[in-house]
Order: sequence, then C-alpha cells, then structure tokens
Amino acid sequence: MITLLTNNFSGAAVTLKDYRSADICVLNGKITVDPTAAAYIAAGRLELDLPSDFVMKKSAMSSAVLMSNAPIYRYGTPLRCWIENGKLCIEKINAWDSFGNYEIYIASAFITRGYRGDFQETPQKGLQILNTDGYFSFDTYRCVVTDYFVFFTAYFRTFPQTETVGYGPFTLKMNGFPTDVNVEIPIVVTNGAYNREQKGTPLCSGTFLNGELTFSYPAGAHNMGGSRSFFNFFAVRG
Amino acid sequence: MKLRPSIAFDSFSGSAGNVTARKVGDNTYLSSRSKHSKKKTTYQAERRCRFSETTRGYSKITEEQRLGWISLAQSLGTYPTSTGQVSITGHNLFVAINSYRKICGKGQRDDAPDVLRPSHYIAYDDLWLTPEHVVFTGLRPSGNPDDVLLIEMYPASSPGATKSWNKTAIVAVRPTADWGDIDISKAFLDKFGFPLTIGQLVFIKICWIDSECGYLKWFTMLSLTVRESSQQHGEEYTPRAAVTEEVLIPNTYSESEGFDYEMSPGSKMASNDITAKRTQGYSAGCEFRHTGLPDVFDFERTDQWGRATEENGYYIQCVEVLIQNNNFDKKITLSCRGGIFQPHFETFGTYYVTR
Repeated sequence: MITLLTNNFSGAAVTLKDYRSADICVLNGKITVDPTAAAYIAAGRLELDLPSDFVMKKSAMSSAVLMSNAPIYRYGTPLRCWIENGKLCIEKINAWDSFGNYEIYIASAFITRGYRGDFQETPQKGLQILNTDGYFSFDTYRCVVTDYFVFFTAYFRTFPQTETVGYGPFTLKMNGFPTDVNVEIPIVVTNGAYNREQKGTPLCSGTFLNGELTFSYPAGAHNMGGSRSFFNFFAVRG
Repeated sequence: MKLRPSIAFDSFSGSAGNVTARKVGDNTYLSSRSKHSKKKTTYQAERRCRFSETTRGYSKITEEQRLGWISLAQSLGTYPTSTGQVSITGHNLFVAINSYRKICGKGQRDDAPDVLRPSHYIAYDDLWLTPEHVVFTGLRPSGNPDDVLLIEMYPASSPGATKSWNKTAIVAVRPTADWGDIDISKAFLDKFGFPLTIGQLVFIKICWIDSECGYLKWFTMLSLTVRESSQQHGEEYTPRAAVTEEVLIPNTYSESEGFDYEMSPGSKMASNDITAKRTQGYSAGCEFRHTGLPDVFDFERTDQWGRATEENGYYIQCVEVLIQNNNFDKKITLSCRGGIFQPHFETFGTYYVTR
C-alpha cells in the first residue's frame, strides 16, 4: 500500500494498493474528487504526489475511469492517467461536475518506454464460467496472471440485464481466476443504445473477491447491462 | 586571425587597412580584420543575423545593465589561451549568453543573471554513428527543467583530422530525450546535406545547457569514427518497437489524428494514445495500412479503454487495436468490441499484448 498525502485539487489523502518494479507498477484504488473545491476548479489536470521512494518518476500513458454521481446510471468515461515528475497525473474532464463529488478508479499498469530488443509472447490464462444461471458468457476475454498481479479484460455475449433479470446482486463465478485478487472495478453496463443528450456511458462498480465478481444494478435503472458490457483492469494480488 | 608581433609595429596601436595593432602589457598584437565568406546558406545567414542582433542589443541596454554584465564578467576571472591569460569582457559575455539563449528559443536578457548556471556534461549508454543513424541511447536526464540538449557536430573530410573542435556546427537543440534516446539522424542530414560514411571521423560536442541562463561552459567532446555497429557495445542498430503517425498511409475511410504506440517488455505490453475518425462507411472502427514496421511487430493485439470525443459525448467503447506486420497483411485495425461505437474516438492506456 502507498498513501498519496497531497494533491492539487484539495482532495483527501488516497491509499492505493501497489506492485512496483523498475519497469512496471500496478496501482489499485479509488480517488474521490470534489468538483466545487477552488483548487479543483483552478487545476488544469489532477496531480497526486507519489511517495518520495516511488521509483518510477515517469511512465507511458495509462488509464483511469471516471464514475460520476449522476443519478442511477453514474455515467462516466475513461481518463488518461500517467506518472510525471513523481506525480500521478490524471486528465480532468468537467462533463459531470454538476452532479457533485465523483470517483476515479485506478486499476492500471504503468510502464516505461525505450526498449530495444525482442519480446516474449504473453502467456494467457484460460478461464471457465461456472454459472449455471445462463447470465454470463464471454464474447472474448484476455486474462494474464503473474506472480504479483493480474490483467483481465472481457466483453460479454451474455450479461445480466435489468429488463430481464432485475437488479441483482449477480455473481460471475469462474474457474481459473486467482482467488487472492481483491479489487473494486468499474463495469461498463451500456445497453447499446445511443442518446444524443447523454454524456458518458452507464457504469456500475463490481468487486472481485475469492475469484468471483459480484455486482448489482441500482434500483430504478432501465436497460443496464446486456451484451457489449465489458471491463478491463489490472489488479495487485494478495 | 592573429599575427605574430612585429618589430615594425612596436609601440604602434591602431588600424591600417585590414590590420589592427593593439598593445596588451608589454606585447603588441596584430589582428587582421576578419570577413565572413561570401557563402550565404540559410544557416549562415541566421547565425550572422543572430550575432548582429545580439551585438546591437548590448548598445541598447542601460549603463546600469552594462555595468552588471561587466561585473559578472570580472567575477569569472581569467582563462588560459594561446596568447596567455585573458578575461571575458562584459560585452562578450552579453553576446555569448544571449546568443545561446536565442539558440534555445529564448528572448534577449538585458540584465545580467544573478547566478551563472554553466552547461554540463552528459552521460549516456550508447551511440550509433552510422551512415543511417545518429542516435544516442540511455541518456540520463539532467534534473534541471530548464536544461536543453545542445548538440554540435563536424564530420571531418579526412580520417586524420585533428583540432577540428572549432569547426562544429549546431545540429540540434532538444528540450529533452525521448525515453533516453536522442535521434538526430534527420537533423544531421538537414544540416550537412549528406550522410556519414564508414570510417569517417566525426567531432561531437554535446551538453545540457540551461536555456534560461545560456552559459556554455562544460560539454562532452567525442571524436569518433563512423562504423556499422554502436560505439560502446558494438551492437547493430535496433529500432524501438514503436508505431507513429508517419507510417500510416492516408485513406478515405479512416483518418488518424494522433498515433503513438510502443511495446515494452514484461512479457509484451503496449502503451499508446490514439485518436481516430471513421470518415466513410459503416464499419465500427478504422483501418490503416502502414508503410512498414520494425520486425518485432507481427500480429499484436490489445483490448483497451476507448471513448468518443467530447462532441460525441464521451461514450465508452472497448477498442481492439490489432497491428499486423507479416506476409499476410500490413495494416492496423481499430475495432469497437464493446460499449457504443462513435466514429470519432480516442483510445489510450497500457495493456498486455496478446495473440
């Protein structure tokens, strides 16, 4: 765990789960942002000071996910996120500031560049959905498991939808996913419809624990979930 | 050009024709008035113009400012030259500092700086000095945000050339290294108009110089012979596993507004930042053929976060970035696999590359 005590948007101290090596680090956590704070309004981007012993002072581009406080659907979008001069920097988007405090999920890897040489292929982990309720089926997934962290992205052919199976809670049970991953992630639960007035995409949060993903939809939601739902994250093990 | 003292000019000071005599202590020095050649390349014209402008600038500053420069020059003491210990004048210090400030893209400084932060040496891992590449790698950062890299070179015409350090010309000024790399291959060609040849002797002066201060003092001096492999480790040149906008072939269906992609080990990861637009058709994505990529690219796929641009409401999409660089195909495909596709979108982040 690392604690980021200071930032440029008057936010509280943030604790992130971390894995660090010279070339890669993985961070997991959630940052709460108050869009009414004067410092936030003045900031061009969000900057959180990393601990002084944080070795990686600069990273290539990574990502974070903004989850707003918009009623029911918590619309959001991915944000650019990177390390620069010993700070965790996050792109600032004001589209949902009027809904009050919002959250930024960090479940990302940060790497360096400048490598010359050959590469080894990435070994992937095969997973099997154990649910017998028929709620879940992968369209495609990629799962990479290392000794210290995992990368998991999946988009679904079948995924629980409010109109057909209600609000949950739902649990995705899998064979093969590490049981020592405990992380909260954003899940994109769009129904595939486009609304010109809408900003962002409906999101819900889910938790991986004991190799299972659990989540639920907010009461009163319509058309959340279904095919084309997906998630994408790195998580520290242990 | 300096001439030896002559008995005929003993105790003589002043100019006669192109010859100027001046007395310093017990010695009399004769100088011939130097005239620049009639050659007028853009670079030479720029340099002369910069010098004239800077020299004129000294006459326009206030007396108080002039005294400041003189005082600063005196604080630097003396340094040895072929004619003995000399000191720099306030005027020369003003011209030197402001010339380098202008080279670094800064305006003229009228007041003498309180502190002079001299340029300093560089540290690097390797250097390719080949007919195709002039590339430093593993360059350590300077730590001073105002520092820029100043690189001067002189490709000698004879392998036995010596004392050519005063012939170097500025090839590039770079604000920072690109992850430790400084690739000046194109800058070298632009400057000299011809590539290096194997066996050619090259003089290089390179340093970190504070662009605000502009005080050139210490620099790394390299006198190296061009060869096929790298100078330090004798390795063949290997490009980084990167894809940039320049290799994408424009087409009428897709438009790239920014393409920055690079692979890193671990075992194979990619970091990227891409903005693209489908301009015609109905496919949920964009496709670009490319002019050729480094050999390490074959069939590289990442599944990553993407979003519509601001005017399209930031809708989230899952974007598959597929790079093909093999006998079957040479193209890059960006496909929406999840979420809602919008034709003008951005995708970015760090992900594992999978097959």
